[in-house]
Amino acid sequence: MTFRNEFLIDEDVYTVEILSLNNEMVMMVNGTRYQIRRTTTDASSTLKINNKVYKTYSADTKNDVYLKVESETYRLEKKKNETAQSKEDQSANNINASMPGIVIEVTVKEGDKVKEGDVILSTESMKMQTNIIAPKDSVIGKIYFKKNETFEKGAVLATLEEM
Amino acid sequence: MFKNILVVNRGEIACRIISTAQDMGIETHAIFHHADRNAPHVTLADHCHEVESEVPVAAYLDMDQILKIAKNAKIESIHPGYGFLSENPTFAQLVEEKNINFIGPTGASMTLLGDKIRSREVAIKADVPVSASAEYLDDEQAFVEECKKIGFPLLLKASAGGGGKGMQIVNSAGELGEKIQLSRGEAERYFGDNRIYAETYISKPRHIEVQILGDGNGDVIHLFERECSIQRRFQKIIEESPAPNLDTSLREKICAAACELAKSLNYRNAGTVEFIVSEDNQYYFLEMNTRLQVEHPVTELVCDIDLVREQLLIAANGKLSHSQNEIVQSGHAIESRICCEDPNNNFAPATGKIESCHLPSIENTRYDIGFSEGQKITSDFDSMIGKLICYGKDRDAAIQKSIESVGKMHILGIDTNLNFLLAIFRSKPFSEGFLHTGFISENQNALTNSSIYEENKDIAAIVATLEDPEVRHFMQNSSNLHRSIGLWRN
Repeated sequence: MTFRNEFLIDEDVYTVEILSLNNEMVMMVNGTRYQIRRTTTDASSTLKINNKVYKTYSADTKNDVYLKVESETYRLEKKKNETAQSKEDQSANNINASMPGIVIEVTVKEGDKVKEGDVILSTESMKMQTNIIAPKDSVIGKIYFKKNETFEKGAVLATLEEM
Repeated sequence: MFKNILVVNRGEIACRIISTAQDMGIETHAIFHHADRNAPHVTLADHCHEVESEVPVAAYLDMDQILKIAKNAKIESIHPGYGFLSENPTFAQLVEEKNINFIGPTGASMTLLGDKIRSREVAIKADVPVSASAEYLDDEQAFVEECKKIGFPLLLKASAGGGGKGMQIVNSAGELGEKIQLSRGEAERYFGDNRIYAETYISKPRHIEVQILGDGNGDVIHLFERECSIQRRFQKIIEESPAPNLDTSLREKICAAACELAKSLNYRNAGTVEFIVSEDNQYYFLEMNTRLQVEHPVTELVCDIDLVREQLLIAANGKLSHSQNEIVQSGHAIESRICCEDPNNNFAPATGKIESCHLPSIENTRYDIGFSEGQKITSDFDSMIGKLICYGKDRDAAIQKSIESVGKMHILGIDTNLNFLLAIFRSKPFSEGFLHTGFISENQNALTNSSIYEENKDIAAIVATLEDPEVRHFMQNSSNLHRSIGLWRN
């Protein structure tokens, strides 16, 4: 089978298949065929794709590729790097942080019964305050953060147990 | 002039202040928290001093340690920048008690102007128009009644506040109770002061502010206005000078009002008088900021004046170095705030590392930045990491220059608002120049779905594939013959 790479851009899947890596490269992106010539290969890379020239820059992080293509900036999430751990972190009974921040207040204790909509934690990300609320009637399992502790995006803040 | 200066800030504004001080031959001292030990302001300053604290942000607020540093280094002047200690009257007073020049107003005028309720009284005394307002005085029921008299929608604000913190729009009487709690809670947390007040919410308001300079002895000049209506989450992201489509007589009135207010206090230092301008050209005093503003560079470019230099001259000489008739507004300048945030997710702040960045030298383009390649952006500090300021002979030229500059710069490895800024500059409503503070929410869809961006997504996927370590490895280690067969995976 040919080399395939999958990326997410703004939640849409982009599947790239490499048909040839000759001087004239050929790739399919979601079924559209592209012929590619590369002229430089340092920090910036100039590509001629289907006879149009694009100046690009890139930076690789663990989970994403950041690109500048002409005037626009892109973040492509690498699909193949999705690990079992991150899937587990996002299970239905976990409360995940949608952005990095700091805990301002923990309003419940482990073992507390909460109703849907009850506030579990107050958090703040730089200048924005958000209340983390219970998505359903449940019992608080674990709370992983204390007041004034900081967390990263995607961190499990608390777990819920069935009533 | 002072022999030395201690800049008690970080990021782009610390760099900005240090640069001017160095140009003036003043020895520069910076402070830093361990987390900032490799930050540009530390590298730039002639001397730097570590302030210890568990939470990084607390270092830049630690008056005791800062004053100790100042004493040991025989500091003659302290510049607070914006944010942090810049509008803390206690700090200003402590600095002056130690016979160090505070680059700012007196503690007394800071106290007065820092309080939104008392500053309104100052405005009223100086004959500057203010909008209908009600103050929360212990009795919630009485406040609710006052609010009903103002009418809905209305705006709740923290008395001690700024920067949109504690601010809530209330659309109906039914929402009042909940919004009052939210507003008071935020006010308490940010300012340790839960006093709030309500005022009329003006639809499609413009935020227009006037830069002034006062010598502390009653002499005040203005450096014209800035339009700061392009905001998200009540915080500015694009500012410009002059304000587009502003009636000349209204401009004159607003600038004169700003001077009157500052004169009435014998104001010393650079300052900014903020106004709300309604659709029918009524203007109302909003607040006066007693510091150098984030957006001061647009004024510097159109007036050809270095505001930090003026601040230092005022502090050292007690008089202004320019008279009003020497100040001319010429050309047009636009500032873009570069923020690490996700415009598609309600501008949520982003963290990460700047893996690669490039800010090309372009004529009429200025960068005020406090970051460098390899720097980690954490949630310890503000998401605004720098500013791009573009100048042109008129507004269209400044917009075109902004499009060119944002398009040519890159900051990779972390989410930024660069695409969003581009989308604003390319949009028809922005180029027409009829701006108001609801501009972004009103045009949200047009601004987050740029056609150029959409068009090149396939290209982006190709480029990312070429960057794939496996693909790179294959291309470096195989002959053309093998490559033509293709890359095979087990």
